[in-house]
Formats: sequence, C-alpha cells, structure tokens
Amino acid sequence: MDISGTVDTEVTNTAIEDEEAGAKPRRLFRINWGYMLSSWLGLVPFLLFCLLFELLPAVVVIQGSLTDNNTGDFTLDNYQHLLSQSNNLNAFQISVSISLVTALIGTVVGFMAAYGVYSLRSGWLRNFLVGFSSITANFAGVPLAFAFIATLGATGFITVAIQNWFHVNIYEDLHFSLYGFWGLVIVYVYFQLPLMVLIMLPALNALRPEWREAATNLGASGFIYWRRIALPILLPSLIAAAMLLFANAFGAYATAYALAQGNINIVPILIGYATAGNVQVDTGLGNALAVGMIVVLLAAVSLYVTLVRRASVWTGK
Amino acid sequence: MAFLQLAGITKQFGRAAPAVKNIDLAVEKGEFLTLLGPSGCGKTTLLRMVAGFETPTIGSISLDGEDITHRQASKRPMGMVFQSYALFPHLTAEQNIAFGMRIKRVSAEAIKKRCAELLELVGLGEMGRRYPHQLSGGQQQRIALARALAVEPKVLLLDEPLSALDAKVRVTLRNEIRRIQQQLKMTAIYVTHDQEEALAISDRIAVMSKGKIEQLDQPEEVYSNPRTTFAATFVGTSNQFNGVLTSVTDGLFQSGKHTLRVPASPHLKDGDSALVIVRPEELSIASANGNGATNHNGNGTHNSITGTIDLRTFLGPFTRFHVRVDDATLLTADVPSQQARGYDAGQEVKLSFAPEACQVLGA
Amino acid sequence: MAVTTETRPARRLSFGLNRLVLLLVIIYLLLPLGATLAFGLSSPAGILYTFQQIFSDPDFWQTIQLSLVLSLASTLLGVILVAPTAYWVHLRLPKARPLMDFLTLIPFAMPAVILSLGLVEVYGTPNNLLNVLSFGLVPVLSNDPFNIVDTPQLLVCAYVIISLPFVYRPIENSLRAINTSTLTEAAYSLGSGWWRTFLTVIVPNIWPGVISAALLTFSTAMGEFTIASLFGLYTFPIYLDVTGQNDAHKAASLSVLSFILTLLCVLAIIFLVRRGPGRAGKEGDIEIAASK
Repeated sequence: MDISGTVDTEVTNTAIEDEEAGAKPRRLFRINWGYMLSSWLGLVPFLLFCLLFELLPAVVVIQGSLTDNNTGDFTLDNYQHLLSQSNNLNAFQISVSISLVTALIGTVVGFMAAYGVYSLRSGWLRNFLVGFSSITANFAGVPLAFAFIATLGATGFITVAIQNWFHVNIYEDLHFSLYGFWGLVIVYVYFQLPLMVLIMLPALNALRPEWREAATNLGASGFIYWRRIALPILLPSLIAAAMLLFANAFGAYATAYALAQGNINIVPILIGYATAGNVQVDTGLGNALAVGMIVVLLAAVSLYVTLVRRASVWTGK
Repeated sequence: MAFLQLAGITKQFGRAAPAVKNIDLAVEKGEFLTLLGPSGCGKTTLLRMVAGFETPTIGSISLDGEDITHRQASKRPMGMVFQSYALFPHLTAEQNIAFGMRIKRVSAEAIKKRCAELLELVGLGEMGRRYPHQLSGGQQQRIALARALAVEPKVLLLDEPLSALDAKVRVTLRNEIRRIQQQLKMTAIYVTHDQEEALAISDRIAVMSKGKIEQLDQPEEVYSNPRTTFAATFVGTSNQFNGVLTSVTDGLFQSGKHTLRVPASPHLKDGDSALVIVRPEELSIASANGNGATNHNGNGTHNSITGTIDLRTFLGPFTRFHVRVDDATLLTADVPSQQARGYDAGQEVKLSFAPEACQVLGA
Repeated sequence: MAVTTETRPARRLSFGLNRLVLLLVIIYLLLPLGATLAFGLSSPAGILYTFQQIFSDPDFWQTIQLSLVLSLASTLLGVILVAPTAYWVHLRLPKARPLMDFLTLIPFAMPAVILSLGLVEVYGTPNNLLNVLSFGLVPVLSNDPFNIVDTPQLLVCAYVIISLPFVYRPIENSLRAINTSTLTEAAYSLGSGWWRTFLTVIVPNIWPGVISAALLTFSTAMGEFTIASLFGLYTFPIYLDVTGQNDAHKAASLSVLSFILTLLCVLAIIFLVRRGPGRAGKEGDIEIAASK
C-alpha cells in the first residue's frame, strides 16, 4: 500500500483548505489581538491616573527647564544659571553629602537595630517595634523639626542638660548649629533609622536558618558565618536600602523648612524659593534644579532596582 | 563501646511532653543506620542532638570514645545534609563544597583537587561553576552531599534529604547515597518517614514512635518479625488478628470464630491476649469451592479463612484484594497479578496462609 | 549523665551587640519625643492651659478635620485604584509588570517638592504639549467646571502618587505569596465573576498587604507638608508650622498630639489586620514592606 501518496495528498488538501478558508489563520490572529487589547484596557484607569498626576508633571518640569521665563522660547540658559551660580552648586553638594552621610549611618546602625528586632523572641514586642518604627519614620517634617528644636535648640532640653552637667554650651563652644550640616544629619537620621528597620526586616526574613546551621556544621564560627554567608547574601539588599535612604533624605523639604524657614542651602529649599519664594520667582531655574534632582535620584533608584533583582535571584523569590 | 554511642538521651522542650525519651543507641563504624518514623516521633530531634544543634536535657553522646555531649556544633566532626539542601545561594557549587575546607585553612590547590574529586564522586563533574539556582533539586542535593563530605567527617547525618525531590529522582539518589557511603565506608545516620527508603538502603533501622525506639533491627527482621504493633503497622501493610493464645506449645490462637495455627511463642503463656500479624503477600487466594490456582501448596496445616472480595485493586506487579471475612474483619491479600486473574469483586474466596507467616505479639 | 541547658556561646556576642544597638536606637527615638512633651507641658501657664488653648482654637479643629478627610480619601483612592490593577496585572498581563514597577518607582525620583512644582505647572498654566500628550484631559481639568489647580482634590491625587510605591509593593508581595491564579481558577469554576472573585476571594487573602498599604498612605497624608503648603491649603501640618513659629510651647504640645494621633491610627490598623476577614485566630506579623 502506498501510504506516502495518501499522506501527501492529505497534506496538500489541507493546505488548499487553509488558503481557501484564508480567514481562518487570520481570525485566530485577530482573537489574540482582541484579548490583548481588552487586557490592556483593564489597565487604563491606573495608567490614566499616572499619566495625569505623575508623568505629565515630570514632562512639564523638563520642558520648563528648557524654556525661557519671559519669552517662552527654547533655551539652555536655565542650566547655565544653575551651573554658574555657586549657590546652586553648593546646595547640590550639601544635599548629596547630607543624604550620603545619613544613608550611611542609617544603613549601618539601622541594620544592627533591624537585626536586633528580627532576633527578638516575643512576637508582640516585635510587632510593637515595627509599629513604632512606622510612626517615627513618618514623624518627619514639621513635628520632627519642632521636636528637635525642643531637644537640641538653643534652649532645648539636651542643650540645657549638657550645659548644666558638662558646662559646655554646644552652640557657642562647639559651634554647633541645629541648622548646620551636622545638626541636619542628627535630625535626618531620626527618620532614616526606622525606615531602615522597616526595609530590612523582610530582607532578613529571607535569611534561611538552614544556612546558619549548614555553616556551623561545616565549622564556621558566628563571625565567619556573618562575614562569608549572611553579609554577602544581604549586601544587595543593604545597598538597595541605602539607596532608598539616600533618595529619602535628598528629597526632604518639610523638615528643613520647618527648622529654619529656608535658611538652609539644600536643593529642595532652593526649588521652593525659585517657585514660591518672596524674593524672586525664577521658574526656569526652579525647573532646572528639579531636573537636576531627578537625575541624581534616578541614578540612586536604578542602582536600587538592579540590586533588588540580584538579591531576589539568590533568595529564590 | 560502639563508634557513636548515645546513652539515656532525653530531650524536653519547655513544659511539653519530651520529644525524645531515654534513648540508648549504639552505631557501629561504617554502618548505615536509619531512624524511621512518622512526623513528631523525635527522629529529627535526635539527629540534631547528634549534630549539636540541640543539647540533650539528660544523657550523653560519645564519638570514638570521646564525650561530645557539650561540644559546639561547629567543632564536631559531622557532615550534615539538609532536607532543603541549604546551599549558599551566592556561592558556586564548587565554592559551596570548598566552604568547610577554607575554614580549616586547607591550601588552595588541595581544595581545588578535592572539589574536583568530590564533584566526580557525586556525578556532577562539569557543574562546579554553576550557582544553586541554576541546578535542579537532585543536583543541588548532590552538591550538598559533596559539601558535607568535603570536611572528611566521621559521621554523615542526613535529615530527610530526599523528601523535597521527585519520586524518580528519589530512587536514583538514594541508591547513589548508599553507594557513596559504602565506597567511603562512612558511618551514616539517615532520618526518613518513607519506609521503602529505609528498607532499601539501611544496614539497620530504628523504628521510632513518640520519642522512643520501638525496634532496632536489620530491614528484613523489621519487616518479617516486627516486635511491636507500631513497628508492624508502620512498616508495610499487615493483617491483624486480636485474640487469645489457647495453646502455646501447639500453637493455637483463637480470634473471634477463627482458630489459627501459629508458631510456638515461648515468651507468652496459655490464655494470654495476643495480636497476630500476617503480611498480605503471605496470603494465597482460591475460589471458595476448592477450585482455582493457589500460590502455596494446599496442605492440612495451613490456615484458611473464607470471605467475599470487597475490592480488587490492580497495582502492576501484584493485585491487592480486600476480602470481607465478617462484619468486623477485612483482610488484605497481595497476589501476583498473573494468579489474580479470574477473581472479581463479590466473589467468595478462600484465603490460606502458613503458620510460619504469622507473627505473634503479646498484647 | 549531666542535666544541661541550652548553650549557644558563639551567638551570644553578636546578639548582645544588636540588642544594645536596638536599645540605643529606641532611646534616641524617644528622647526628642520626651523633650517635646516636657517642653510643651512646661508652659508658664500650666499643662491644662496649653491644651485648652489648642482645643479651643477653631483652626485646630478645622485643619484636623481637613487632614483626616484628605488622608482617608487618599487611602481609599489609592487602595481602590491600585489593588484591582495589581490583581489584573498579576493575572492577565504579567508582561506589564515591569511597567508597573517603573510607574510605582517614579515617586522616588520625584519627591513632593518636584511633584508639587510639576502639578502647579501642569494645571495652572496652559501648555500645548501637555494638551496633546494628555489626550485633551489637562485643559478639561484645568478649567471650569473642574478647575482643579490648588484644590484638595488635586492634593488627594498627589498624595496617592507619592504613596504609590508603598501601596503597590505590599499588595504585589501579598499576591505573590498566595496562590492567586489557582484561587482565581477555583472561583471561576464555581461560577464567580471577576469582581466577585476579587472582592470575596482575593482581597480577604491579601488583607495584611492591603492594610499595610492603607497604613502607609494614611500616615504619609496626615503628615505631608510640602505639597499642601505649595498648594496653599490649610492642613494640619501647616497649622502646626504656623502655630509653631509663634508659640513654641503650643507647637511642642501639638507635635506630641500628632504623634499620639498617628499612634492611634497604627493601633487601629493593627487591630483591623487581626480582625480582618478569615484571620480570626491567626497570629501574623504586620507586613510592612517598603520594598522587596
């Protein structure tokens, strides 16, 4: 029996059928498109919301930075102003320094505190500390500023205490100022620490106890375990958290404003000045400053994203 | 004194009932000992005490003559393989294996050489550069095994290493583990709840329940001569007859309206309550009116019980019959499938078994 | 045969250090609060007078009310907008996940200062490019009858945006933790439609994530100063600032008051998590995850 012949004819027949019913393969294709479209349709409310209140503001800021205040023409003058006025560059430098320093302190100290919370045996105490951390992390802004004025201000609680016990006036003798660099650092660290705790706790939960046991079984002391296993595994999460802390400090406006009504030279304050200040409204410069901020923050956030991805590959999530 | 000696080990967690009660265990050098039991029987707790992750509340552990009861886990010469592999995710397979050696400050060349040897031993010679997330479950467990062996432990501890793997991989890997253990003449303690695993690869099995060892014997003995009800029912399926030993010397046992012939039981006396256990494969089946093939030669001294087939299950090499004998008794008979043809549900059949197949346990 | 107790000498050292640091951090966090309370209560006129002054100030009640309403609105809008979207994407459009990640990370690159600047410019000044990009919606919203520039409604939308990362992340984590697709398939097979499945099957199971998102949005909105100030709206933090510049004692008392307010909200939310659907008897930690 010549089977091949029949098979061939069958194949050709179906091919002809397909061509004749030409709509058939195309209809399948159309169904896919329809499904895809309706899938994306479900996303529309959210996308629209983001467009209107998140993306367009970004667009307008970038556009505004390239627009002349008076004529409305395209110009790079705003950036020129930004880079030429030492005040602006100084503000960037101070902003970056404060953010880096507080991110560093927040990461190191906050991580140890996070581990302390993580290793607590009692569940309710842990929950309480998590709740406490979320409140204090959000305490930033006006109330925090006042709290610190009451604590470390010229007539603050601790200032007076130090004066009475150690006979040292931190303002006059140590040239300390709550509105200076280190003053801001102390204040910012207040909300960076609990934020670090909140970020690191889930990451610490990813440290499986079997790794500790396996390491111990292979002869590792506690120190070796931390140095060779736990810290390397946690490092991406730690740096990612540091990036979040950096971004958090870099964008902080309210705290600094409430502390010194704008007498502190950091970028957010400068932007506030340029757009709503009493002296001079220079929207172009304000937008350019904003774009500068966005660039710095984007760098931090990209690093954050890469590291989080690395961490999740290792912990298998 | 055995190679690894556990004496009077009891473990109590807080105010709960003890997880492990007064266990004595002597493990010989080069032996493959399995701790077999259901969840919560204390087998993992016992293993972790040997490893040093838990300390016994009472009791002592000694290895090769030395008391290690209070020695830190990191200073004990044991290698441990975990159920979840526990490979360090940020290190390659080779680096994982090298970990213990680096702590011992072995030279880099020696490490490289030994890693290569161990990778060959577990059959993963080319995978040294891979990361754990790039390996399958079975491969990860092999690397975990190599890592544990790298530090040249005196005892290898395995905590349900195959539970997380697919059925087929489990069978291949358990044979691998046994092969490697025999090749290296390594003393091994293996924890599992899978009795097939235990029977297949152990030198001796310790059947555990509720913190105690019910029976410690070679696999064949545990299977054919279970000493306690638990051992009989946990390992393999069994038919159970409750009743009274009417005559020890003649071997007569009365259970309900059945009189059974059983082997002589010198450890019991006439009139004692007893439990008689018969394995399903010892039962042969014949049709009730005397015709049909049997797989044992019928002869007068065999026990014989009639009943109706309730359920017939084809299991491949053999067929399992559930036979209802009376309202209270349902017997299980495993018959080679070729001989099981022609017997269906609802049919009246006669089950026969030799007296020697009966295991008599004092109730 | 010696009776022994658990000993873990090697671990004690690192435990000790962490506990110590934790203690120090807690003290550091409590000090300014304590100092503020002491300062506020040390007003020359006495404790009760300060609080009486505060509670009799109509501005206090007005701003608290406004802040509460705004925060509640932001919380509801945020959760209602994000939760179904996250579920939809998880189930039907996993390809869109990178887009979602991107959109919910932008607020980190656009903090409140920049966002308020941008929003004022978008809805306050006519702009052709924007008109095109927004499919004509911006001019619709900028002018009558909506006219949303500098309004509380726009403020609510801004609050939702800045809380976006803290809303999406916990909900997405929760969706991943439960077997979402299997649960959905089971519900569909029993005849349940999309919304019913979402409301009666999915939401009860991602409850901790939803509560965590609500908690973070609410507390962010209650304490937000920057955007409200640049919009010129009189919310509680603005009231706090204005009062504080004039009367330090009152300011201190108000700070402690706002702390207690947020504390009550956190406790209420913990309570809600415990009593949430299907959670009776389940012990669970609050899943406060700002990131993965």
